[in-house]
Amino acid sequence: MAKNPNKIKETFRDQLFGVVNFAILTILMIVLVYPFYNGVILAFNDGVDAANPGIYFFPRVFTLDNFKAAVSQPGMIQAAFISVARTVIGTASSVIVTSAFAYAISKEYLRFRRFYFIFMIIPMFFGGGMIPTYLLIRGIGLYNNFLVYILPSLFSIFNALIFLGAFRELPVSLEESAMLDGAGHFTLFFRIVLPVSMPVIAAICVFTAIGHWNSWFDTMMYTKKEGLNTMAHQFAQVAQAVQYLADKAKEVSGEQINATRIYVSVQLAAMLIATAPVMVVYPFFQKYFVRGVMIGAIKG
Amino acid sequence: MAEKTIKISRRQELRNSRRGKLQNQVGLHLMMLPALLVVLVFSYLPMYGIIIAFKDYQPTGGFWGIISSPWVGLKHFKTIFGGNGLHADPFMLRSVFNSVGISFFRIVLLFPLPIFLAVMFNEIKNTTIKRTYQTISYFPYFVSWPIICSMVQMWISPSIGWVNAFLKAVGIIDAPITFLSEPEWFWAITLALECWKNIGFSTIIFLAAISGIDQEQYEAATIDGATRMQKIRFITLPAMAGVITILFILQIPGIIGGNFDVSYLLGNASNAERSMILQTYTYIMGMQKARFSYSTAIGLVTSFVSLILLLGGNGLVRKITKRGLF
Repeated sequence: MAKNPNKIKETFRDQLFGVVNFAILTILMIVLVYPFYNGVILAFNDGVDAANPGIYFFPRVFTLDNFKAAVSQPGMIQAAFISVARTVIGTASSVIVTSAFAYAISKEYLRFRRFYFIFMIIPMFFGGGMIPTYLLIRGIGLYNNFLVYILPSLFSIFNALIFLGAFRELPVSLEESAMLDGAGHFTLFFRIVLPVSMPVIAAICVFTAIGHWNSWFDTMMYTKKEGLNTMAHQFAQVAQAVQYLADKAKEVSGEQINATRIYVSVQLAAMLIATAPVMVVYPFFQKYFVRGVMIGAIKG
Repeated sequence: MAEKTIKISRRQELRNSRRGKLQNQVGLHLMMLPALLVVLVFSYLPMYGIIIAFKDYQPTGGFWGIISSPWVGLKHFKTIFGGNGLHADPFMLRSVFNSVGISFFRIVLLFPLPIFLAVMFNEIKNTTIKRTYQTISYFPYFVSWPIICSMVQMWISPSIGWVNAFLKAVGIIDAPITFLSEPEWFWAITLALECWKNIGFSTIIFLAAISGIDQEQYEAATIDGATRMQKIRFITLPAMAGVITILFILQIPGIIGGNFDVSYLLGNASNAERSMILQTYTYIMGMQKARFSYSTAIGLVTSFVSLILLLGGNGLVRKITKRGLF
């Protein structure tokens, strides 16, 4: 930029504006990240030592004990397994079911197209609600069943609209030439449409996967078996346990506070383990989900 | 003339291919079948269950109990709204108050923030820094509510949290504040957490609107001697007006909602006065107190009101932009 001789030189005021703007944003970024960073250093710090204030930037007494304790918590490995399973199976199946629907409805010549569209849109505005859904889940035998994590979220109208927007942009000639070569809709969809729509699929995959990974309400509502616990739900229980312990601790002595502290540090370590995959994944898919959100918003 | 024949033959071709496609409907229908079934079972079948709002359903009744339980008419709705000398359900009033209150402040305080943030991001000239900052700002959005709620409890705990320690060290307070036991803090906590989690991610849509602005406008303004502030005021913000209007109206139906995750995970008996919202009240009534019929009635009232708000909001969008959202 500076090399351009015709460029109008920025006035002092504008330069000042740039500096102030940058400074405010930098402070804001620190505010956004620090609370979590604080959790990270506490997870790497000895639990009892953490009770003394003064740990701000680096762990004071470095240890990996919290992580060892977190992994050996009862049910943690099982919960991690369930979380991974529901995320992988749930995301793959949901993306296929939703995109196949979007592909079919993107064809103007689909018979009863308008009816299907309205049929799928209505639940966006009105639903049965918490208890009727719960009764249905029990009624069809999905209670305490792993499939309760997969089946209800197989289709998402919001994602379908995003897919629809992407499929509509595809040139009609693509379909016509494939059809002339004798390809049916299934071949066309799996061999041509899905491969050329990778950006939007990646975006939807990331959103669906993170949704599954973080979802805890269905575990609380529809399961009672320990074996079906997910990590996200485990943390929801922690959230309630911490409150109890933290309130208790103010009435009693240091020993109790130490016990609470150790518990807290271990939970922090567990949460870090659970958040790590998300933290690693999302920056790489950023440009995809930015596009996904844009399409979704513009198409309404 | 030749062009015309080409056009006609092209049209004929299209018609022929369309006829071919009509025979191919089976494949298309098979592809949408799974989605249709999922929606039918998990979205439409539960709607039938709404009738228990007008019945006395026993929790032991199972799925068939929906049909066999006795009709009681509007009994549950009378309990909610009062009338006939009865008072309205005080917990319902409290839930509505909190839902509407939290949502109101969410619109007034939180809605404008991502707009400012997007404009500020746009003013960073160095693309690498801009990208990095955007990525950082999205991060909290991907942390789940249970984790955020657990962590915030650790931070604001009177005995082990750093917030109280910090306030005490600076000298703002003498004794630690039990934030979660005092109802008056709850709205502030909810809104602060929501702000932290969503502010970065909400900028995406506004940044998209900004990226659609023709750069020549800025260049012309620079030549005319406009300051950066003036360019924001007269180019960037007007270009975002349409998106801002639509997103603002989309907030309207949410006014009766709250934030289930935060209200449930951080709510307790001491702060219930300010933490109980319609969704948590529905959950508590249904799943904890096992009053299925009453809980369904509350849910029905809630979704009815939000439906009206949504349709009203859409009407408003249509009036302003001449084009509804649906």
